[in-house]
Amino acid sequence: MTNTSLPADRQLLVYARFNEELRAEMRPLITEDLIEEHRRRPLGQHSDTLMRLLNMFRRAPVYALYSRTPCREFQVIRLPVTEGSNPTPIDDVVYTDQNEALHAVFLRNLEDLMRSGGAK
Amino acid sequence: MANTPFITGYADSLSVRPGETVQFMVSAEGVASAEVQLVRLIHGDMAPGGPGFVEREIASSLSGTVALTTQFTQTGSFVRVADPAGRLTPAGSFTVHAFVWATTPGKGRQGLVTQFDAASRRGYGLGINESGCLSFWAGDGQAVHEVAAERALMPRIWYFVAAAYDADKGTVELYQEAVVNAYNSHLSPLLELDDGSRVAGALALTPQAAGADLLLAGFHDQRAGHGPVVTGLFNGKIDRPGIQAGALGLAELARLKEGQAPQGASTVAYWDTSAGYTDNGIGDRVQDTGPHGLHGLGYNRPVRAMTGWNWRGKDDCFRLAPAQYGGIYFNDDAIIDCRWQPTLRWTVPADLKSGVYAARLRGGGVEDHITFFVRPTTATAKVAMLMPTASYLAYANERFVLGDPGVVEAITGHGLILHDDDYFLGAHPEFGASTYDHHADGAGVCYTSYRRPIMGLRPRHRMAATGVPWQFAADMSIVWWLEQCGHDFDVITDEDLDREGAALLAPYKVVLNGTHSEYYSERMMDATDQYLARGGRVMYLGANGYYWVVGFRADEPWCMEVRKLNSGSRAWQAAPGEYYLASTGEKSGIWRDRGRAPQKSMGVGFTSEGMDESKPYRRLPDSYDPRVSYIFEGVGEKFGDQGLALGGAAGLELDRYDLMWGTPPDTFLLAASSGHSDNYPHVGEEIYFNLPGMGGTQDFQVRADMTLFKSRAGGAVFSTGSIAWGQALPWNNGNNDVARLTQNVLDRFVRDEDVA
Repeated sequence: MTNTSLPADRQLLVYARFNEELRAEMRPLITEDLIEEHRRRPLGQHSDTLMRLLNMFRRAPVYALYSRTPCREFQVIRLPVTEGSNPTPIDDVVYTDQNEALHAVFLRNLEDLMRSGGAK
Repeated sequence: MANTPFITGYADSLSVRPGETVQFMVSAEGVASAEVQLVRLIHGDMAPGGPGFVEREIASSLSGTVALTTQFTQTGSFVRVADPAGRLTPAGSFTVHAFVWATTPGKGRQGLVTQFDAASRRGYGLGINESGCLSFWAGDGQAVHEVAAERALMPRIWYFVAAAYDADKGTVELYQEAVVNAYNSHLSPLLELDDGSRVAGALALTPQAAGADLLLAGFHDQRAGHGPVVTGLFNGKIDRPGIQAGALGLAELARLKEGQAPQGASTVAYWDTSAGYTDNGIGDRVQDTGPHGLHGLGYNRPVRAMTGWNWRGKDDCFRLAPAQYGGIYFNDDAIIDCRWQPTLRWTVPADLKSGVYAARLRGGGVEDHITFFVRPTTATAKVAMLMPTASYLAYANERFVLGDPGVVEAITGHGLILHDDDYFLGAHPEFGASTYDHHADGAGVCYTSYRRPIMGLRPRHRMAATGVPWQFAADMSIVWWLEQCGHDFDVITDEDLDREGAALLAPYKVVLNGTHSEYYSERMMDATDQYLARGGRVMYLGANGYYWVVGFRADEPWCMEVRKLNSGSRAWQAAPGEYYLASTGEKSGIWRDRGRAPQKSMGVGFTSEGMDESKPYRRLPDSYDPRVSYIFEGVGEKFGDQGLALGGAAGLELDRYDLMWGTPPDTFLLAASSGHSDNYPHVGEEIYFNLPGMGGTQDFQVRADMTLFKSRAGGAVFSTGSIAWGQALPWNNGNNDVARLTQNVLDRFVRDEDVA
């Protein structure tokens, strides 16, 4: 008898549980220093903790940047980008510095992570 | 994004010579006309620190005003069978049959074997209905009735299917049975699959012939404002379909299901999809071995050389067991040639200098550049810039960021940065995908073509994965540097190299390759080696080049094929048994796996990729050898710590010297980069056991190597081992140590004297 309340691909249950546990492990590691480390240099080699955190975010990205004027204007958008959609930045903030914009994405990810129960 | 208004288009030839004619196919929305201007493209990347976008207007007969229209694109691969005598809708009873392996049975109505026009409601079709069930439908010009199986087809399972229409009784018997063995399907025969179906139903009308071509994998319809289109496009494989006169009984169907070709006078048509194969590939023709020889012709390149219903796993190539390779793979989103009407036709003037050009169209507040390359009639310089157009094709309309952003961001270690081009592509699935993408049913895209608009062939295009230019737009940084290096140069392309071989390169003292010449046909590999063996000199200013085995049909240079096999950095992996190019018969995959690692020809080969930061190089003892120290005149111990691509000259993708993979023993290892992050892991094809610590901070093999070696007859290869090298050249208006070093090498390479 098929249990229709469960996903056809049962691996999705393991994935969800794994993510819950990983995100729970990461939450206590978020510190002001860690956030400052990313702000100073969002790309490249980081401390082991920040690398682990970024690896987690990067494998399931929720946010990205849209650059209306290449190299000069960046806005945060939410993924996925559906076919035929127009760019819909999540707010009106336009960054003129790419690193600042990348850090804004990082802060959004952190906010989701730290929200009660963590964003899934 | 709707991106309205827009202008877009393509040139029907990417590489043209003076005296030859090029046609520009343009489509627009919201723009009635455009001003056309010929421009010579000099630079594309608008990153701060570089020269920005540079083009030069060239007076020519191409200039003027042109009216624009919106042009239609027929996507989807299918087979068309012309039937002028109307034989394929027999007047009385008949049976339609096929082997079928559907990948998206639930996507909506799909044609398998049809001679049906939905607009006129005439003809018949054996296909799949909206419930994912096998169905036979027919129309008499007024109504359409169908008889459907009661069980949906399971995806990726081979079935024998048939519909026997009995005209006297006005009935249809549907027959569906799985033909699963241990190899041919997604699931094993050890399972009891709920898969068979036999249904008899009344067809309360008499089918009237559609008077149209028979189609495999779709059916006819009309589209408002355009006219005839093919719709009901099928995803999956069809093997050996046929039409028999009379309503066949179970015994006759059982023989067909066993794989016996139909015998006797009852055969109307039998398309032996495994017939006509050659050792050098398979074309678009699908042979009818029946009495009327009504051969079919593939449209948008249905994929051949695919395993059939009876594949038994022992032979992995259509050349070894053609009878097991009757599967033709169809995709509803395939596009090889938009077949637009020409908007502009122009003959390249005799005095136009070889270079990178575009037809620039401006109108309605928008602009587009349709890029093409002008090669000389005969060589005019000692130096040639080889534009890696095969690799441009591979990445053409890459939709990675739309389809699987997680993969992209994890690979690059860089936040995604989308531009208007990405949204434009999202709004235009009809412009197709790259060999880094998947078809709608998940199959890897193995064919790519330039007879469609390609975003990456626009000079200002940036890759969403990192926000930096990639391929063509990145190579323009080398072109910009060449424009001011003091040496005349010609522009040639991979297309020319594949067609003409070493003769193309022979007149040149030095050939520069681009930032990422990753896709190489055997003819291109052979031409490069022959050129070097005869004293030619190559400056390979990139990385991860000479990597994938690709093939072109001789008469269709706009379309390239690759199969991604079981090693190499691959966006997809060919299914077992589907490793060989239908275009040439060769095994595809990476050249290393065919015994031709890039190190053998270039001194270096792919070792790592990561796209967070680029790094500088540091010199090694060989760089102080008096025979080659000229390379470093004016260059310090450390060099290349700036550039337009991620802030350095060693980055994005990296190549490494390795004697084990065939780097020539006397190669000078001049310099190597270091300090790469863990977002640069050592590549998979060099890893036999996975273990932790394979990133840049812990594995010495993660680096870009700069090498020089001598080939026969005074030839030589200089390699930089990094994609980011080319984009470091224009930094600070070319006043930098990367440009200086490159100049030192080129100045020496163009001279007759030995390079070391």
